[in-house]
Amino acid sequence: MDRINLYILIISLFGVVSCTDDAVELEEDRFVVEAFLFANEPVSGIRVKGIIPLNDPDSVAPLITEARVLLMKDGNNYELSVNEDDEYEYTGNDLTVSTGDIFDIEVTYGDITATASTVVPAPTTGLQISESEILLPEIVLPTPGGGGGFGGGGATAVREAIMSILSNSLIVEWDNPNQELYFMVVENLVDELDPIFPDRIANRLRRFRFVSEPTNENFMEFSLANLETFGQHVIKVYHVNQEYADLYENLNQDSRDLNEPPSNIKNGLGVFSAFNSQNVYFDVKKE
Amino acid sequence: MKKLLLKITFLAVGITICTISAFAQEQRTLAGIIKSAGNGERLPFATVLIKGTTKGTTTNVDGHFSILQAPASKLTLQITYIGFNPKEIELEAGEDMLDLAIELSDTQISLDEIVISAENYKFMNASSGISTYKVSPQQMHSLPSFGETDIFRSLQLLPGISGTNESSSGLYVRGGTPDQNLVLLDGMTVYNVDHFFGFFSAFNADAVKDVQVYKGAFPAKYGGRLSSVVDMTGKSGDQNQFHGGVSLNMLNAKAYVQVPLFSKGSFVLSARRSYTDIIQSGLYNSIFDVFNQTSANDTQTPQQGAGGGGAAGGPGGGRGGNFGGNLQGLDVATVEPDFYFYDLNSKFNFNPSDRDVISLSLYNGQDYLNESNDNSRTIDARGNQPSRRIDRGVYELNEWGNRGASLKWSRQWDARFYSNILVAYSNYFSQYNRDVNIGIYNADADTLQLARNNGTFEDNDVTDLTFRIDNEFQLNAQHKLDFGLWATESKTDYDFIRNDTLTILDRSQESWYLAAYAQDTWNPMPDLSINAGIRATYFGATEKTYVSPRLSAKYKLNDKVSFKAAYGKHYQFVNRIVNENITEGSRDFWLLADDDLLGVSSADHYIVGVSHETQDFLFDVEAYRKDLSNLSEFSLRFQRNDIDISRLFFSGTGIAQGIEFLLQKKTGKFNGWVTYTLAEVFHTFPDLNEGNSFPALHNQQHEFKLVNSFELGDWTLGLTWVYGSGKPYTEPEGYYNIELLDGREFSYTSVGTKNGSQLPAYHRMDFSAHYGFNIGKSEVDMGMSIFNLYGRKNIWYREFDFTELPPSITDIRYLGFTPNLSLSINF
Repeated sequence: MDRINLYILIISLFGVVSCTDDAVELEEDRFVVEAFLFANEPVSGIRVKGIIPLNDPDSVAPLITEARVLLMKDGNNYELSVNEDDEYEYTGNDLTVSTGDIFDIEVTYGDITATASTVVPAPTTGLQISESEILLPEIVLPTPGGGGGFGGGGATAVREAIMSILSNSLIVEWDNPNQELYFMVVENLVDELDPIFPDRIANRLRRFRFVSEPTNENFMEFSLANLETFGQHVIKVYHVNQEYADLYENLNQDSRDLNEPPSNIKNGLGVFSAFNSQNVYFDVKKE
Repeated sequence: MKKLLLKITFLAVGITICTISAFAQEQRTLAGIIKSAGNGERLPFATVLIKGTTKGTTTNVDGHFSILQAPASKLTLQITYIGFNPKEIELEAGEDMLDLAIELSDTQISLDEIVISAENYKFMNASSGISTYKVSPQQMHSLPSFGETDIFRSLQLLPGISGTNESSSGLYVRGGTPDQNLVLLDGMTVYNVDHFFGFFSAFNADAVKDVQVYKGAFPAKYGGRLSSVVDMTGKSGDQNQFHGGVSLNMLNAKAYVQVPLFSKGSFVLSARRSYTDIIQSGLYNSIFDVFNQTSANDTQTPQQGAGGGGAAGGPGGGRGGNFGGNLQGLDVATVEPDFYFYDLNSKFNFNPSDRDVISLSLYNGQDYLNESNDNSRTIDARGNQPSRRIDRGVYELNEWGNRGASLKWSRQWDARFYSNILVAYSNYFSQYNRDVNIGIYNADADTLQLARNNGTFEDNDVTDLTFRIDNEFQLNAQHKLDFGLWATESKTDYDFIRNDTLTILDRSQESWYLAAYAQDTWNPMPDLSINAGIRATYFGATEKTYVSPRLSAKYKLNDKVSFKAAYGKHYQFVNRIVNENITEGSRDFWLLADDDLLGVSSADHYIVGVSHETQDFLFDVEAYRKDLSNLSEFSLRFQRNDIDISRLFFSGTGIAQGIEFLLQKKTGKFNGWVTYTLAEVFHTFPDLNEGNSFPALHNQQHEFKLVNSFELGDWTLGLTWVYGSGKPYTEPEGYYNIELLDGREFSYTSVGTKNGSQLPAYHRMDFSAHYGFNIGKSEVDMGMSIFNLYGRKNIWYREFDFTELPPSITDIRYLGFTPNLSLSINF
């Protein structure tokens, strides 16, 4: 019987040890790396961020400024420092970003080290647009009571002017024999904005705003309806990597099965990618 | 490899031929049949021992036994069987006795002539083999249950088998999953053992005579699964007398009849059906009222920024990304399901001679589960956003079931040689349909702002046709050989469709496998038993042969202490795939391995143990390790917009290891056991969780179980307590934004580390009381059971709804305090 008591004691001791309760957190929080390198440009604008809590979606992700961020190229390490915008940058002049360069990044914060790698793609070549100068009619809304308003002859002129803009577009082309990934951005370069559309109409047209996604085509159509101001514009066509395109692939998150956004950051979240681009300019003038 | 398969086949045939030459050499052989005194049923796997020696054997599935080279002098046979009174039979000195017919009485009958010996297991015998249990379904009624004697629920109280899965009757054996268990009912493979929301198993205890459980390194006779074997033998019925019975509890009713057929056979029919869809008893309603009320009390008012620091936490301050803090700010809702189930067992049994048994067994069981629900919640005005009401309607229907049939002919050719030929058909089907409609309204103006709809349809069907020949040959007193063939043709179909049109997976597969096995049970000395076997399987889908060696040994140091060790290699050719669903809980479906999407999974079992057994107690310790490979998982969490199914399947390895302690009070009015298991099971999938190991969904580090049964006159009381540490789950950890090249910001939901969080610990106490008496010749049993006696709020899983931010989180709870009454009459 003594042995039986011993056995009971052994099992009971294990049982007591087992009686832990409530949830146990098994891991530390991960962080987000948002790091883009641009060919032939200084390294800057790299962000390390926290995660926004589930129950506070309106809060802003905290920028992490105490992380150690290292860029590595050709066996050399380049430690980045934090600037006044709480973004990481490299202030030395011995680091260049050139076509074909392979970069590694290592971000250490707390006990977590996240790493990633990317390569600087070749520059966009053969970039051209169908028109470098665009003439658009000036749209002047008739004043209420003076000319019959929108229903009168003035309104017809406005409608025709708008339609002439909406029905035209720019064709942007570039070389892409291997169906690689490109992304197009259009920016206004003028300091003093001269709107094409009066506010009332611009608000209605905003839904036509140009939204680009990475493409493996060799052209893109840019509707003039996306223009907002007269003046000089630039079209940047970036040669992008797959890790950047993946950011767009996974926007359709479904609450039934949350997609883990594919990230090339190991042991972390976000993206580390490099770009090379070519620019082309066009001017929007009044007829 | 094909040559190896042929060699094993030839070996099996050769052994058969040797039978003839070896037979004439023995001088004193004892052979016969062990039967139930109550209804004449043959008792499988009963222990027959020559008293005062270690020489003995067990009966085969048809109740036959034979002992070679028995002493020619006067001797006493001891016969024991779970749930029956042991018996001792004195045999005079003499020659062979080949037609012994020994009857045992069950423990509810008291007979003067019975000699009670040391061995009198009440419920289960854990000392018969290595990682092997013999269980008596007849004795299970004394254990607390969810209103119904349940075989698999009772098995969950055994060491090494998880007892904390209310949502499934499936067995999680030593870090394995239910699909990794070979579940056989009269030779039919049963793929899904769940009934009634998973709270009942698919087997009616009235229809089952015997249960054998092999937790690891199982004999070469069995194959095709990684984890364990549950081999059930259906009741064959009384050949001389009509029997019947009816039972009723607050949730279902059942009945059975046993009809003799011309004194040469019998017919057994048992049926069971829940009636909650027709009559919802007051108790039934109160059960769910309690359930709902309990959950409602847990509802918490949303509190912004309750995540433990929120965004302001920033570096070094904790970002509140852990769910433990976030829960405080989120809604909790509950779901009340509607369900019914039924099952039907029937068996024809025919004995053309004492040596032959022919039986036809049929099974049909189906479940209907409707979890449709509507709910509405209001979000207070915030900034420029007006107050909004979110109406959510869910149509969710789930139907599943099993059908099967087996035809068996077995013959005891002579005292040494036994054959069993079986043809079995099995079908499992499962359909799941979920449609969600969401409307977001301006709460003040009652105008619709946004309407969304999404749906899921899954259809899975598994069919197999099996032909088996199993043979047993008692070569001599030291060697017993088992050998046979096993051929199965399997077919699986699976459709997975989203939103009516998006086909995510449409897969139809068909294949077959042929297995041959041979096994020798060798007793080189009285205290040592060695079991060596090999099983080779040729699988058509991969056109490869898989060889599975098995080896086990047991050594009796003295009358009380035994050491044991075992090794086994096991393969699985049809896999249950877990469809990981972070927000609604995971589902599963079956597919055949093909070396394309799914590889043939395998497991190496290593077991060592020691037991100390006295007249009344058994103390048993077993340590195990299982190395698993080609485990499969299916997940949509990494999908891209283009559906590429090869990217939805993941393959990896796993390690399950642990140590089990069992202390059993085997006999007496008060009996039961206490068991503790320390275990872990980790998986490693190169493409999941950054390639890091993660705990499996069923990982449970500690499990402690206490089982008590007490007989007091006509009363039988039962009390069980189960404790298990919390199980892991994956939770969304928060959001993050990425600013893109054109200045826009995209927002992403970050899914946390796989199974990186842990639910609270599970524990539950159940109680039962039964009172038995007779009315005329009828036996009446009145019972009461209380499931979850102290109303522990155990969590099944957490559901996330991201329709609006912050998301709503529903804690899907297991049952709370649940009493039940039962009445059964047997005549």
